[in-house]
Parts: sequence; C-alpha cells; structure tokens
Amino acid sequence: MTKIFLQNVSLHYPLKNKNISLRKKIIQNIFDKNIKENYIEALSNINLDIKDGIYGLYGPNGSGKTTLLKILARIFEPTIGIVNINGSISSLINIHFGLNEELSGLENIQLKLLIQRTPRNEIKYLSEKIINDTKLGHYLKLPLKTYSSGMKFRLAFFIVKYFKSNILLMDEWITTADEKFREEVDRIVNKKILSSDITIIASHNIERLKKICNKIFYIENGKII
Amino acid sequence: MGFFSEFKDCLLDYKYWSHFSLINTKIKYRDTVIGPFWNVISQTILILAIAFGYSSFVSNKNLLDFVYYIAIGLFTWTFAVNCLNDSTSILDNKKNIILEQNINIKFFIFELVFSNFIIYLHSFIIIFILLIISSIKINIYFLLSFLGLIVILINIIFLSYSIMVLSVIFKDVKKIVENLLLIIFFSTPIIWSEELMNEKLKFILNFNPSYHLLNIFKNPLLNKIDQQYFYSLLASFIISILTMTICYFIHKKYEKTVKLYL
Repeated sequence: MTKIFLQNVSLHYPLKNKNISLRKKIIQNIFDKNIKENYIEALSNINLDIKDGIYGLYGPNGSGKTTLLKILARIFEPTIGIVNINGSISSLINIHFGLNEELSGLENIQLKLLIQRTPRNEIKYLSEKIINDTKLGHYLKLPLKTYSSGMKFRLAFFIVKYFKSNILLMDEWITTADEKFREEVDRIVNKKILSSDITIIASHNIERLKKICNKIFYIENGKII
Repeated sequence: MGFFSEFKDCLLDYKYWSHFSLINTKIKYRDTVIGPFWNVISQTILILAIAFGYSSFVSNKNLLDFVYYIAIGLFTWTFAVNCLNDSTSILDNKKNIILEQNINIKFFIFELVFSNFIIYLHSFIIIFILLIISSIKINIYFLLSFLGLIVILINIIFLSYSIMVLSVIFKDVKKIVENLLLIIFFSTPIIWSEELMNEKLKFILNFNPSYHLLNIFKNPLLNKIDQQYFYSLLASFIISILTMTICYFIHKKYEKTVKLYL
C-alpha cells in the first residue's frame, strides 16, 4: 500500500562559516530569526501520515515547501526524525533537471531516461514515443543550446510524462506560456495525478489547490500549522 | 545500508555509469578530429622532451628503456591526478541532478573514474609501441600489472570519494589537493629514476604511498619482480586499508549532509 509517514522530521541547512556575523545577521532577517547557531532550521518537527489522495502544500516563499518535497523525494535525509515511504516516487520538482545543453534532443531523451533508471530494453520504445509527442522533428538532432525555451519545455515535459510512480511530487503547477499547448499540458498533468496513488503539490496558488486537493497543509517557517 | 555494500551496488550499476562516462567523453571531445588522443599526444610530447633532456647522458639503448619507463609512470600518474582533481568539483558540476533526483553520489565517482580510464586506455597504444622498441621482454609477470592496476583503481575510487565530499564542505580542499599532488609528482620517481638517487636517501621513498602504488603496476611491466616489488605490494595493501578507513569515517560523518552544502 502506498503510504507516506513522517515523524518529528527536522532539517537543518548548515551555514558554512558561523563566524561571519554580518552574513548571519542578513540570513537571520530573511528567515525571520529562524536560525540556530551554525545552521538554518529549514523544517521543524514535521509530522505527516498520508495515504491515497491529492494533497496540497501551501505557504509563502522560503516557508520550506520545496525542502519538504525534497525530503519526500529522498533527495535530502532529515537531520532528525523518521521518514517512511512505501511506493515509487516521481519528482516533478524541476522538470528540466539533468538536461545537458551540449547534447542533442535525442541524446537528452536517452540521458534523462537513464537518470530515471528506465530499464535499457524500454529506452528505445519510450524514446520513440517521446520523439513523436514532442513534434520537434529535425530539431531533435541539434544541441539543446539551440532550442527556444518553449522547445526545451516541450522536450522536458514529454520526457517526464512517461515517468511512472505511485507517488507524484510537484512544485507548482506545470504550465507553459504557449496557450495552445497549455490545454494539452493540463490534460496530461491531470492524467498523471489520477494515475498516481498519492500526489503532493506545493503551490502559492491556494485557489488551484482548493479545486483539486483533498487536503491542504499550510506551511510557514518550516512548520506545518 | 553498509559502507561497502553502497560502493558494491554502485559498481554493479556499471551499465549506467559507463554510459554516462561515454557521454561525458563524447561531449568533452565533440568536434575534435582525434578526440581523447589529444591527451595522449600532449603527454607523448612531454615524454619525448624529457627523453631529449636525458639523451646527453644515457646511451641510446638505455634511452628507449627510459622513455618506456617514463611513459608507463606518466600516463598512469596523469590518470590518477585527473581523477583526484576532477573529484574536487564533480558534486558542484552535477548539482542539477543531485538536488532534483534521489541518486547515490558515489555513482558520480565511478562515472568520473571510468571517464578518465577511457582516456588512459588510449595511451596504451604508445606504451605498447615503446615496449616493442625497448629492450624489455614480454613475460608472464606482465600479468601482475593487472593486480597493480586494480589496487590503484581501488585507492583512486575511495580517495576520490573522500576528496569529493570534503571539497564541498571545505573550499580549501581543492587547492590543497592540487598542491599536494604537485609535490607528490616531483617526489615520486615518475620522470626521474630512483637509481639516480643517493643510496642513503632512497629510504625516503618508502614513505611515499604513490611510489609503492606505482611500483606494483610499473615493475611487472619493467621485468622488475624483485624484493622491492613484494615490499611495495605489501605496502600498497596497507595503504589501501588506510584509504578505505579514512573514506569510511568521511562517509559516516558527511554522507547524510553533504548535499545540503551544495
């Protein structure tokens, strides 16, 4: 059964030089005095027990939403506390991650599928599907650095479309400036959410979260309120 | 998961890191005509320049053997140095993957070492040509150099991991490593022969780990299976245990938090 269980989870970002008082002061002001000696407490005493459903994480900038998603994606290990996750995880925190500007679109497709640990016998089949979906044609043979931002988005988005998992993590709703493409993106993202057992979306947009989430967690200064 | 089992799992993931290494090599030498052979050419020029310098006081026959001797040492040293130097910046370079995907950071060490190993393998063409024209005879003891190479690789992997982690946390490590490697290069018989050393001072070499590690690879290829070889072999095993122990403590202390420093 897909499940997320967090008990008393805290995460401390280390400050490299605790003796620089000016820097300490600046950080202290930015993070609302949420600073303890030589580290910043990015998350504090988080408790979550989540089963099937769509969940929202709502909070202001710097509140710890992305850090919490990174804990759930097992990118960071908590400084204190227990993280217990049953189920495979697909992180859409940043869909452009791992793309290499020097490589062609085709090479980037293969690279991203490899990073995602796609079995080698599936890579060819999935690559062909992604190639068809992107509709980038001969551009796929050119280095990524020659692409416009819209083309890069198309490539990145259609690669992550095929990442399958029980748990889906999203940092803000995936959206694009291209109006025609926006509907298709929404449709695919909705389909991905429906096919995942658990979806967690971090967002500033409370209205959107209210529309789709079963429950919304409000996070401020690294704490769930 | 245990320290060794994590390294073992990464090693068994060779299909992935070898693919990444090949991509890296491809990017590095994209649009060049001879690719990784540029490295081989620049080092061969250096070897020939050193040989030219020695030619005035070494006979022609000995000179060829000496060039062969320098080639083995210099190519191997360059491979090791490239791995260790690259490890100081690997986590920074791979930040966009590490901070977005749950990935074992040891994976990048195997990728890095294999990328450099691909380039190192190209130099074997030069080593082989020099072996043919030198007076060194190919014999069964040449196979012992494989054992030496494995021990060197083990040390490079564990040392690179330690340097990789420490470089992220302590910014001075990069410069310390660069300078230390330069000192070790000149104090190890790579571009000079230990036979040129004062007999009374030769014992100092025994305190140089890279001397023993290079010996166990180099001596079988130079038909020098003597007492010193076995002494270096023993020393290399002790050095390997020490390297792994240091790596274990660094892993234990920083593995969990190193990503937070990126």
